Amino acid sequence: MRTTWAAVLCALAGALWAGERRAFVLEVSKGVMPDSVPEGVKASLDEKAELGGVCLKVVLDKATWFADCRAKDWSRFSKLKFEVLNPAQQDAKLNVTLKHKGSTTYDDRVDVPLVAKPGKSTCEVDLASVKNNNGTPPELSQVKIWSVDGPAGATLYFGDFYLEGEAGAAAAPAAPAPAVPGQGIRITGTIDVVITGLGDTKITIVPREGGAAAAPPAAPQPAAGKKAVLWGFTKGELPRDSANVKSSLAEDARLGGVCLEAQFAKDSFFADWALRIKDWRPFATLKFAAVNPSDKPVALALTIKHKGTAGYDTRVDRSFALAPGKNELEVALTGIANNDGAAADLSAVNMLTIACGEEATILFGDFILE
Amino acid sequence: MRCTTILWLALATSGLGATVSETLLEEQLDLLANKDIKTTVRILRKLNKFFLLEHEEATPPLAPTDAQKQAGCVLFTRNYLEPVYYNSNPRPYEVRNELKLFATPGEYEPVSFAVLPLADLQNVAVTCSDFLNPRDARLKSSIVDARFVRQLARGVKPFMWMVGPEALEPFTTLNIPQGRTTQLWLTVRPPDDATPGAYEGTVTLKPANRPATALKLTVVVLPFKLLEDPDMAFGWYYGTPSDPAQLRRELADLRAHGCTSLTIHGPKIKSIAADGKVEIDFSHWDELRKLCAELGFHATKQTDIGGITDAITRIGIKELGPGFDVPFVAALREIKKWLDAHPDFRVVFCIYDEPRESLLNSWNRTFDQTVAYIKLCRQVPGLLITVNPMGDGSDKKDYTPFGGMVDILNTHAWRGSKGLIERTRKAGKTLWVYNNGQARLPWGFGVWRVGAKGEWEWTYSGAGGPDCYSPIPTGGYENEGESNTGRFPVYRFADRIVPTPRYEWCREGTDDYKYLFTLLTRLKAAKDGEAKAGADALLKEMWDTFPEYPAMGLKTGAEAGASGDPAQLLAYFDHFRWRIALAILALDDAAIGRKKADPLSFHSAYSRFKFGEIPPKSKAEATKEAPAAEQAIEVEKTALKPGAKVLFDFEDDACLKQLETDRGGANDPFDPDIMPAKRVKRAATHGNSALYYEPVEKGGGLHLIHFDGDWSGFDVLRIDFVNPNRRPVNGYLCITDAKTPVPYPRAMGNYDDRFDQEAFVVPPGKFIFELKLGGLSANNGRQLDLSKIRKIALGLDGSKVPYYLDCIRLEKEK
Repeated sequence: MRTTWAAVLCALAGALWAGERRAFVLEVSKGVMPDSVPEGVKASLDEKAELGGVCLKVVLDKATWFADCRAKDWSRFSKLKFEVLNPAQQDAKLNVTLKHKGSTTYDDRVDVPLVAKPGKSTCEVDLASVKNNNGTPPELSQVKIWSVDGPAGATLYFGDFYLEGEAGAAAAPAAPAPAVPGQGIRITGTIDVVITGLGDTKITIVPREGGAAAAPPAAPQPAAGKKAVLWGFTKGELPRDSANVKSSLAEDARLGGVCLEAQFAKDSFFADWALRIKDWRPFATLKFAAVNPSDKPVALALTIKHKGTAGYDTRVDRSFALAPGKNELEVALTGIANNDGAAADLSAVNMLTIACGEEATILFGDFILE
Repeated sequence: MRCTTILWLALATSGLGATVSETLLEEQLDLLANKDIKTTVRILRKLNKFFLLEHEEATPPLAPTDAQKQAGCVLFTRNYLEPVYYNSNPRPYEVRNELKLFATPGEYEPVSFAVLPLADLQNVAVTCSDFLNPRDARLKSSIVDARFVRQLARGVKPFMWMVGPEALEPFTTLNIPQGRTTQLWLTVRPPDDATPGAYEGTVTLKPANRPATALKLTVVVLPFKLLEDPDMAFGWYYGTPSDPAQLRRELADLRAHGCTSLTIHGPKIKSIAADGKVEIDFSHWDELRKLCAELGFHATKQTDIGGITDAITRIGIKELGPGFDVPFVAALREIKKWLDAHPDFRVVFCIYDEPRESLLNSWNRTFDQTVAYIKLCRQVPGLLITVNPMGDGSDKKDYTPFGGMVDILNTHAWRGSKGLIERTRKAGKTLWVYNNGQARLPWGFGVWRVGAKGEWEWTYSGAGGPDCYSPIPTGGYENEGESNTGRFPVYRFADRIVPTPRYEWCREGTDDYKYLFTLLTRLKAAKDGEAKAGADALLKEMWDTFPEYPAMGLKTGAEAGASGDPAQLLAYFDHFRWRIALAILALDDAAIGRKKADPLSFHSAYSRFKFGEIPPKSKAEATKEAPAAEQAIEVEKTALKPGAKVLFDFEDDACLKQLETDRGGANDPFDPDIMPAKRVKRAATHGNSALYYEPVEKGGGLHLIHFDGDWSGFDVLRIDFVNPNRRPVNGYLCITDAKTPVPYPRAMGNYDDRFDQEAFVVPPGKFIFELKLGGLSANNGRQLDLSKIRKIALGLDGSKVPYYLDCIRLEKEK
């Protein structure tokens, strides 16, 4: 019985998973730029319709690379992907380099040649099969620096850089595979599929452990369109805990009616240390809407403390600036990293905090896991 | 206030709808070579990742006089330590037509005034006359370097920028649009051979389309020269450029700004072998040595050992592993040989950077690794070594032994390094301090007060190139929303160096130090008498006035850099500097047998001038309160809810047996000498007494024990804090139950098995901390047994600030 269910659900789950499991390593569409750009390279934001809007413009002049070192644990993904627009008439040869925990020299780092053809190309690095230059397996649990090299004199436009797929699953074939309805990726190896309920199906896929990295706790699969209310302010809930925040319910049409009105004093916060949903692994995004009724922007900080949190480095911090008016905010949870760059353990989230460093009143809608 | 801001903004809005600050941002972006940065900022603004904040001006606008209207502007003077923003209004006492300053021969001294334009002022020229004294001595107008202060958008919070005074730029003429307050910055340098005395001259501001306005500038040249402490190292962390012309220009600029030292790259290791055969190229040091001698960088320079380690690991030997010692020590010996042959070029080797026990960057090493390096370095007798821990420890590792291990201990001048500083003093070693702020205090009175012989700051080399005015980083964007401007002391263009006001403040700090050193040198030779007693009293007064550590807002690690509140102590700097000058003159009089009251004395001649007056109280100063512990604090009484259970109200001494602290011996009972808490009849929110926590050297946070641990049936724990400090502070709370393992009696148990609430903010005054008890869980998710609560730990700001505690109670909400 269990096997049958597993077989039926496997393809379905795979389809959903492939579409939703994506972790950005450089979300340029949201204005995030690489953290290491040498003299002789100009990196800026631009807008290109071919890349869906905001993109990264890189002019390679006296130097020919840019790099980033913020996302560290790549071991649970099967691909690094990005789109590149090459406005020149000839191919641009690219090289993606991964320097990881085990890298000390050229031999024990990863170099993957890619080509940006004239126009738009989608580039992929198959993380499941990459090897160090000496043929040994890389330690992708701690990618210290990833970089992209290109030809001198080239101007290239890049879309988001993201990790995709599940490590342990076979990479999608390069050539289009025969169409199989509902099949996004194939999962190979030994898996357990645990069905914990039929009405509200949760699926846990446990890939066979392998590689250097200790496998994190198994992640329940997201179900199609699954949403869960973490904080239901529209239902009259108030924050469990706060310091120097006056919380009350208010009504605001922009948030659909009832909402939380939080009057922050300087350096204040509200929080919940007994969240109704502690296991966030089935979810890809934490979303909420907030209205800043003032005429000035307000900075907010969001902190997630989880099972692996022992201090600042092992928790997740995100900062936002709320423009006057309504703001739709989201935190991508897939592959989310602690402040030290290691993967956050979302199997048990202990506390969520919203903090504000200044006096401000903000209206919040529900916090939704999705 | 808001009305004022809006009105002013309305006035300051151009016909295109752009505010003054937006126009200034546009001008800033137009100055950049890379025009794509302008596009990037536009996109970031669209994505809500670049907000431009308006400076909120606190001073209401003045009603201009007819003469000012005719002149098209209001001129006002302002202490150069205070910022002048594009929308700053003059305070009434600042509207004057005279400037004055004092300086010793050869000393740089700034003075500042600003223009509030009532109309567009075109092609404004600022000129100075020669300066004359009553005896017909003359100082040429060229002793004045006049600049305008360019306002640039600088990061003030993540994703938020504000336009403010940032770059001191030379100019010939300047257009000043209506509504854009513009600061002019004059740096006066009487020549080395200037005749002492008072000189008067005129500074004229002449727009092409308006009449000229003049200010009188009085320059008092003191009859002595400042002495420079030969052992004092003032320096910026610096990356030497490869272009010799740029290197010379920058070193000259650093020297002119009070620096006596710099950080330098190690000599190039051309080859190194496992057997210790090493070939080193010293040509870079040869050139630097000549340049340093020529320019006067006489203090010990800093370099590092990383280059040697890198060279050894490149030949396949693991760092600090087998076989590492031989080539490492051999390379150091070779370098020491060169240093012995060039004794005028003293160099100290820093063993990596900011040791730490966890989350090491490539440039950090642990305590044990650092000690291993120290041992290797000690195999080369006479080689100077330093380490720069950020504080007394890291991850519970005690770093204070470093104080006795190295020749120079470099650390932050903050309370967190108290142990290191004391240990270094006891060991008779040299203390340096670093990253204490780009401000006048840490570079002058502060470094004297902490007893250091070196002050270093990160970093001179941060902003350079044709895009250095970019408000966003151009070399990578490590932290989203961070700024490129507002962080570094200078902007380094290909052909010029543009200083910031911060950089000038630091130079004034080094001059404060020279005044102090000159006084101390005179005192050493002085005989007992009125002048010596007066100087001693002045030193004591300054010792008591300036804080033990520069209280300018410390930043550490990678964030180290720009900070400082110029309003904080600005009134005291020139006040004390002028009194030091008079004390030096009194000692000089005494040395030649003159009483300071003698009409012919130096002191009499100069004490008639008035400098260092403390201006009328600003709003901030007017609200200053007595020190926290001295206040008679009355607070609103707490009304208990029906059925409340009071765990602590501190009404009698029995409560002292229910306290323990987390430092001291693990099994010690209450010891009033190390227990930082006492009962006081102040700030009581319930009854007549409260518990007063005052940090003591060995004390830690408070643990409350032996209370009624059955909290079942209650909804909320409430604790009354009274924060007597003038700022909000961070609090923490920790709770254990019977199942929390306690490894020794005074422990709070391990992190996972207890409840922790960190970093809640306690504002000044009374604050009721509330903790809802429903579902109260340990950090590992285990629900605490509310019928068996055992301990509560409390503290504010890491138990570093005083506070009052009262009425700890359990209450029901219904």
